[in-house]
Amino acid sequence: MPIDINKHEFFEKELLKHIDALHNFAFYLTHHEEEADDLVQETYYKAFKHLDYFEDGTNSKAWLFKILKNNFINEYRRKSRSLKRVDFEEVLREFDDEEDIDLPDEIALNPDVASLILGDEITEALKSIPLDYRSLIVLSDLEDFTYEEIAKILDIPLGTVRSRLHRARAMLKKKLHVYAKGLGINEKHNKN
Amino acid sequence: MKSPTNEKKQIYQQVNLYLDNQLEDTERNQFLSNLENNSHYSQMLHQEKHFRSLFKEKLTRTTAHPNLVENIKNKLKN
Repeated sequence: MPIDINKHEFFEKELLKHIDALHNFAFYLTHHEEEADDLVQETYYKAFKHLDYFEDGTNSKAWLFKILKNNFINEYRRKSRSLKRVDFEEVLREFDDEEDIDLPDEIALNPDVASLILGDEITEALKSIPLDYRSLIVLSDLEDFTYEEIAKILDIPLGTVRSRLHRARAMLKKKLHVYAKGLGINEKHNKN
Repeated sequence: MKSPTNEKKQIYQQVNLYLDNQLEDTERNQFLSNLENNSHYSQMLHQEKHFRSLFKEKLTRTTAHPNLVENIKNKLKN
């Protein structure tokens, strides 16, 4: 933190501006508004407490996201009663063992089909994919973090970011294909 | 010889790496050349760009309630 700036002033100007993005990330981790509120609050308290360790030039948004993620994993998940219990290791083994990625036949959604899918369906599809994969999509495709930043936030190697993100997007598209079929929206439908 | 599915997967992977700015200079040049010469590349690129912008536009985003901001500020002042 720049030494000539007041701690509270720095906190409000540099860190609080990211609160909506943090809240949204927290929501997609917890699936619960109030739990997201708690997680964001704890994140900011911890950030303030450790502000002296914040180095000038650090990406403040990425720094906060990392604190939030650590908070979530280390403390919050264990305390949360409503959060679905997921054996992360099991999930990761299941997907990381796959050398090849099981992509849908129509890998990229036809723009006409994609346009007919509603926000609620996209949101539900994202919420339904495993946590580690969901986090990657939010960090990359919503928050525009680079692979390097994501690797630091999630404490995973760069190559893992690349492969998991690839799988995460494929999972999301698979879900959306299912939604589209369920709604009777498909490629054939659009060609007619 | 690559099967059509594998080729499609490979193009899909390259398109994503390109959009994520993860291709090295030589890979990027190769990709741009493929883009000019192979309609599957341009089609996939168009679809991916469209999907990404749609995803950002349509996904429900939550925002922090103003009370939350005030609570945080107040607690830290005390």
